[in-house]
Amino acid sequence: MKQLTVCIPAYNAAETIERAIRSIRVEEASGDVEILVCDDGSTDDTWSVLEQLSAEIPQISMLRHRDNLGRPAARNKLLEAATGRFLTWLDADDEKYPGMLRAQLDRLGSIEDSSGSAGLEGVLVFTDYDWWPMGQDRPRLVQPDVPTDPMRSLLDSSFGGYLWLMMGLRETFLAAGPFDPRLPRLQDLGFFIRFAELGGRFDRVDHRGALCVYHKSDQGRNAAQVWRSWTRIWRMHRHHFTSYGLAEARRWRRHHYRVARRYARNNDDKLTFAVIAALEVVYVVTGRLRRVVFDA
Amino acid sequence: MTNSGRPLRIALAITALYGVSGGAERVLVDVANGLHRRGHDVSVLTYQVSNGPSFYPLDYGIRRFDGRQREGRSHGVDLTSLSGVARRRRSVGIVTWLARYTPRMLRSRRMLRIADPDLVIAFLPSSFPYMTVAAVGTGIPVVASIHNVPWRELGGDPERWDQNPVDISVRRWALRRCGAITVLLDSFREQLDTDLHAKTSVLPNPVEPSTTGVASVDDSAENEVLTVGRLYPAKDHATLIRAWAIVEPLHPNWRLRIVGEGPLGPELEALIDELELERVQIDPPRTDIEQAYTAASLFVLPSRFEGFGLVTVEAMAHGLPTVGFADCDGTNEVIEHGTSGVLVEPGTDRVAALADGLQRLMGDEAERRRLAANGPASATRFAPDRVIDAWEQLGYEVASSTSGSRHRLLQLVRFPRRRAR
Repeated sequence: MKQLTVCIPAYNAAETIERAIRSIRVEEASGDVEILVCDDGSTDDTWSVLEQLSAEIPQISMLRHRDNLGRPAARNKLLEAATGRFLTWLDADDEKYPGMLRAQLDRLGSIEDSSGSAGLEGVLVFTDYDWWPMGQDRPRLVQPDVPTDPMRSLLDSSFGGYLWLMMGLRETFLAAGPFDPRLPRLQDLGFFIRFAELGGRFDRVDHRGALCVYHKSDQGRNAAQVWRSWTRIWRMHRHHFTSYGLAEARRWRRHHYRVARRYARNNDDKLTFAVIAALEVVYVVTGRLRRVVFDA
Repeated sequence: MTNSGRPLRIALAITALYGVSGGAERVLVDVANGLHRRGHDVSVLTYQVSNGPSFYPLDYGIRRFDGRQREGRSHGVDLTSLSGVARRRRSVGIVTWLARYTPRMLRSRRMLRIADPDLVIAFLPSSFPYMTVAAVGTGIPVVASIHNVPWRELGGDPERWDQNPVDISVRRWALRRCGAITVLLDSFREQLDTDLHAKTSVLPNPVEPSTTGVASVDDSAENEVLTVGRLYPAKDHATLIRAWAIVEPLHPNWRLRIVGEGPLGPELEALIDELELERVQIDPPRTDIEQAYTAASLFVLPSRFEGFGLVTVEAMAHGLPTVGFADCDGTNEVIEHGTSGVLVEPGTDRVAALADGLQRLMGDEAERRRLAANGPASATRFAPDRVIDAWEQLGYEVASSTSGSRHRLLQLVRFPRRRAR
């Protein structure tokens, strides 16, 4: 069995995919590594770039969607095809720094040493990372804390971890999957909430300091899409939000409106901004009214 | 058993797991993990004042849902303080009962819809009455799981559960209505009405055999008497501390360790100071309790009332001789007198009787060894594999016997069953 599968969903990533794949240091793993890329119906040269690379890097396996089915579908395809004992992710425009795979495998190994292979079930190990918004000359270091209550930290958006930071047993990912195809954005969050619902927990590597870089670009961040994704998360998991109390749930829900509005403003999308703002006003007013009626 | 072998969707319901270290919670987690490891789809439904991870770790793969308790007050009225009036006036009882539990029943019903189980096992009278009402018309059978002496759970003990007569009636109604009942010991079944005996199963608490080895009960320079339990009146730690005051001066190489916390903590500390006892300590509960067992040489359970006496079985499994009261239901079935421990007849003076029982074993190394050697074998009556087998069997029986019996009329109450995913 391979020791590790690195899953990469790629869509129109001809320019960045080589940088991403070359950032994976397969020699850091003690066993075999599989680099599994899913070309999600790219319209550029992604596929031919991958073919060239795979001639040179034998660890690469390639999957292809004829049409662009969206990132969740690509992730699901990768999850199904992965064969490694452990699994981790990389986005086609991001990079891992040297030492990331080793740090994560070491951490997982030490968990296994202390509590057996059963202790690995339901654990995802993350690292610190660099957050590099496009156009800025230096990245910002992000150091997520290990949350004591993973569910709460996901619902209140206080946990700064993303899917591409996580390494764990393949079964751990499979149990919480599949990714929700109706979440073009925030599929990480939807996935993590189900992971936490199953009792999953996050753990961090011993190494402090960034071990990968996330190149953030605001291009194509469709505010309406972001808004619909947040709303789907809220609808699917409302019972988890309210399990921390209605007041908290409403506060956290307000955050969704705020984020979507911010995207709309950054994109200069005045109509979407107005619609979301109007919905937010309705949300706040009905909440106030409810409180007046019930607490009178 | 036409269906056995098919994985079941099982929900287990209890009021709270976050930060609660009680016996029933422990059992629920053990049963949930046991059933999950056998391939069943298990979810756990809680109704907590505040939400968070379970004190006892649940396996990855068991889904958790929480209904978030609303405080026991509605529209500014403290409903618990009305229970005195409720006891005298039926109408007040009905109104307060509805006001207090309707949100809970609605929440429970919603959680049932989300978890969509084949059956739901509701633990304790703080959970099964409301779950039984919530499940009416859903076609989901309810198993009412009683984890204490039944007569105390059904209104016989003014200290336990809601004393509103309406609540007590609903509790009794729920036992009639539900698909099956579980009690912990054979003698407990007899306390239920005869017409309930047929659907009552005896499912003791599962107790793991010791993984950390057995305790050494030989005399040494420093020997320890151990008790484990919530600092609560029914556990009667005060009697133990008073009995210790008698034996402490006679046995200078023995100390008493009480593991537990609870409302009586300060009172017991004060009692220890008042009696000027030097070799008594009260420790908070810990997750590595096994170490406390293996470090001790004798286990004592001074309880007047005990639902089962999980800690006593654990002590036996760790090779400790045990001392308990013969008039304490549960303890008197768990400890086999003269085989794995000593049952003390309380007589007129519980303190003196307990002190006498303790001394008998503290001063007799050979007898301790003999009783301790029988402990692990005696504890296999409660081996997890056997207990989980029985739960699984019960699950199949209940799920098959009641499946499809959705009440025609009650289907009018809409309950769209949907798979959670």
